[in-house]
Amino acid sequence: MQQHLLIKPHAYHDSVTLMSISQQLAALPGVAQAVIVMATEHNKTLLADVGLLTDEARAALPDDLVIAMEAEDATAMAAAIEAAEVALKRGGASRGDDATIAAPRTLNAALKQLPDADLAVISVPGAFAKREALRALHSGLNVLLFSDNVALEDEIELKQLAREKGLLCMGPDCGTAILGGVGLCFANVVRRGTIGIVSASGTGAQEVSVLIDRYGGGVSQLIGTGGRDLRPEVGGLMMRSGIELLARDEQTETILLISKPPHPEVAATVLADLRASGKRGIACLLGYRGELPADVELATNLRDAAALAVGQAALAQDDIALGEIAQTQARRIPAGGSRLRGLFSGGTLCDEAKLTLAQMGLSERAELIDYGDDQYTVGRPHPMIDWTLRLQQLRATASDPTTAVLLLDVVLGYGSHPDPASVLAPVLREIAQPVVVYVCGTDADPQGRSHQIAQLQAAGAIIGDSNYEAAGLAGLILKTEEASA
Amino acid sequence: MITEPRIINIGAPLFADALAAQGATVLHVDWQPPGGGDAGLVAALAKLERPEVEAANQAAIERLLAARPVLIGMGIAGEVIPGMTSTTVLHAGPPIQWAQMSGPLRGAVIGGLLYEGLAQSEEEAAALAASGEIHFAPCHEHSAVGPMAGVVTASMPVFIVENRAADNRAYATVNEGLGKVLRYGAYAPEVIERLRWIGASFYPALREAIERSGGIDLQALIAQALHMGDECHNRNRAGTSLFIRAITPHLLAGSADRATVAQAFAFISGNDHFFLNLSMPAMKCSLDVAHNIPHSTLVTTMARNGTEFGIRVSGTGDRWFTGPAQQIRGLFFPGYSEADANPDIGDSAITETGGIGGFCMGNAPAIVGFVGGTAADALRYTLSMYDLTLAENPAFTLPALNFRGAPTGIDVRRVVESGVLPIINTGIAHREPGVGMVGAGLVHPPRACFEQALLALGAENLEPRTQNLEEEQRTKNRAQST
Repeated sequence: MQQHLLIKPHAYHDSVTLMSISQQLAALPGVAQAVIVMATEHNKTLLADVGLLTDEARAALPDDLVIAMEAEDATAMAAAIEAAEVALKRGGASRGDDATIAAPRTLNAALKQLPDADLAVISVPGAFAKREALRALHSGLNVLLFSDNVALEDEIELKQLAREKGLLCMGPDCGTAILGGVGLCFANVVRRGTIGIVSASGTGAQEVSVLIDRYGGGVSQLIGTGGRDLRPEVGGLMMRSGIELLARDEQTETILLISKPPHPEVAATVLADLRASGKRGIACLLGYRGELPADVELATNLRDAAALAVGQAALAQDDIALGEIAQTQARRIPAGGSRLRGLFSGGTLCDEAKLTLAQMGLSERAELIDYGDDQYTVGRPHPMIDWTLRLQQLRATASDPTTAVLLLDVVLGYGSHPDPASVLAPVLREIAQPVVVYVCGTDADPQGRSHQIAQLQAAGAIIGDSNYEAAGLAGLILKTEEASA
Repeated sequence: MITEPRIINIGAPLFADALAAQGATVLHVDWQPPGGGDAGLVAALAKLERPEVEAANQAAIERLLAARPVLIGMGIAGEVIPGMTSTTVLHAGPPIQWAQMSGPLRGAVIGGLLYEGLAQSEEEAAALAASGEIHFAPCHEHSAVGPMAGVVTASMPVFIVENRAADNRAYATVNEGLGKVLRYGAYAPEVIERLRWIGASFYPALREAIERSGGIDLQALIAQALHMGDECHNRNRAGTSLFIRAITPHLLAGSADRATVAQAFAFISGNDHFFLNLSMPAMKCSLDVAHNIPHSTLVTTMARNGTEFGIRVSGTGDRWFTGPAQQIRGLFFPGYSEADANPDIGDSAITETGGIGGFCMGNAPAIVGFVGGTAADALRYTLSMYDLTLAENPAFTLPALNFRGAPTGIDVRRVVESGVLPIINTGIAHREPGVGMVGAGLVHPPRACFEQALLALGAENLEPRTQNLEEEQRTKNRAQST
């Protein structure tokens, strides 16, 4: 064991740096003790305590630096001395990284950084969603509540509070909105215009907005409400708020409502509001068979809703051309194939396709599944984002000999998979049956509708111009096969 | 109608990215399940999201921020501290009895009893402490605070700090310096000797000087020290220097003889932590006026007795919520290691409770070296505390954050919700009595303190509907009885 003592006169270092260096040196192999201190009286006591206070150290002045070490052998000591010099030059801890503004961990902290925020987008697990939404509403923020699995009574409480405060509570389970031209959650890039939409259906609203864009119109605001808003318990609280807002909005000339069939009483209330708004009113309540007030126009499918809203008849596909496509495609149906199977990611797109096929008398032969339904999304991302499950099911369905025709939706826009055709096209190439695909999106979407369609067509897909027409074409192919068989 | 949404995104970062890609104004929240996802805590949080709670917190924080702590004089503990008797021993942290006390606290109690002449030897003192004849009480319950063991006995001189905004007072003993000192549990003859010198010589001179000064504005001193590299808990070099500057003319002009004055100056300037025993009562009297406001979730006390860490909350009054005192992460003096360290001890976390100390670490980057951190880390510690606090103190600012006010006023709800615990800078005491300080570092309170406090607050804050029903019932009862 050997000791080494070095005094550096007039070499002040702060005590924290020196403690840090002492600790680093003491951890070196073969080093028994390392005490690097300024030679104050207090520190001299410390040196004495560990048996390192030499006469030289005793005589040192408070602004002298003492390096006192004890090591097993000369090699270890030499290494320790060198390490001490290096560490003293560097000044203890490592340096150099920049301070970054810490990301807030709570809504309150975020409000301190962005005090004039006016909207909270909340997508936390359902059990915590109410709390965050309450906080946002109490802080005067509008809320888009993407989270699902929120109790119905909590939804009512939140929406009542929002109405009291003159705020929007879009959702729970609201997937789409476009406010001030900004697409929220799953939304497409559509032209701005004069058509205001209030929708209890996320993909229904996406479909109508992209078709409005395609037909030459534009959207002023798209307000989502969540799928349960028109249930009698909720009473259309947010659809009513949405209508009121759009009625006051100068940009909005037409108000378009989208929903699955509402409860008759709720329907009467919201339709009365729509009529009272003083704007042109269109209602697209898929499957609705009830009364309509005068002045309110009814659209029976999403395509017609968009066409009505832009003030022109829908650009229906040429029947002769469709017949030819169906003839060609029907030949691809394998022997024994008798069923139309649809794999959807959009709930309302799936519902609309079912209605369309029912109108064609094909209900018994069509099996359409919405993979965006809660039972398929537990523990995995939504099928618009993650294609794994749907591609797996697509392969399995195609290998089923009873499958005659396949029908798929591909939803583009913000929030969705960045390039769905790149994962879907390779699977389409393996499939013998005719596959009808609807691409819900615009060319301005990040994925680019034309680009997606080109890739899918090259892989053999037949493209429908709207979801409604895609379903109709798939049905027609099945019927054509039947007629020629 | 929203024309240009300014958005806070809570949950999936994907949605924030999509909004940013559209050029929208969006701030993403790094959200964590509140209370670690515990259902009881989440329910309590929901109960406490109410206007009554917000209003109570507003009232509490206004009182805290309005406080004007001024050092107005000194006195003898038994004469000035409310409820103090000749057999009272005040200590740091939540209530504790002799049997549960850790080494340094026991040592300080022994030293205190020797100093008072209530015992003549270590053995006698220990026997007396265990006898039940000594009344142990937390400093915090007697308007006082003490660093480390925090032992205050009847004849010790104390500083008197007055909150000029509310006329309440707080008390603290004189900081004795480093090494073998009472607050670290040392009770050797030289320790008692130093205490006697403080009482006989230092106290009269300093008391006179403080009185001559007409009061020393501690808020101003703290504000300046915070701009000079101190955070006023574990670094008090600037504060001590500023205090010397403030007291010098009055100490020199007083009646004390030259030798006494020279000794007094040598004593203050030889102790970098002298100012700690002023910053602590300054925070104590500022926080005490924010205490006892029904419904308020403001933390008014964080203190440790070496065995337990305890907090008190404004809305739950004098109830303590405790958990085990934690081990400190830090650097040790030569010859010592973690094996020698006592768990966290002292009332000095009153500084963090008031928004300085660890909460102002961004002003004292030297401190973060204790855990091998960088200047950027120091700022990050401060930044992360804004998630926990109700206000930013315009009186105490952080130059590196463009003079942003210090994060001030810990909200129990925000601690449980964010899962972020307050950061505390502190010294490390040896676990054996009589050894003293062996290092310094950083520590957090145990999570359990805040969780218990939240559940208690939740239980006291009934749903408004239930309250109305009860009110109705009472009205009915009254109607029937008349």
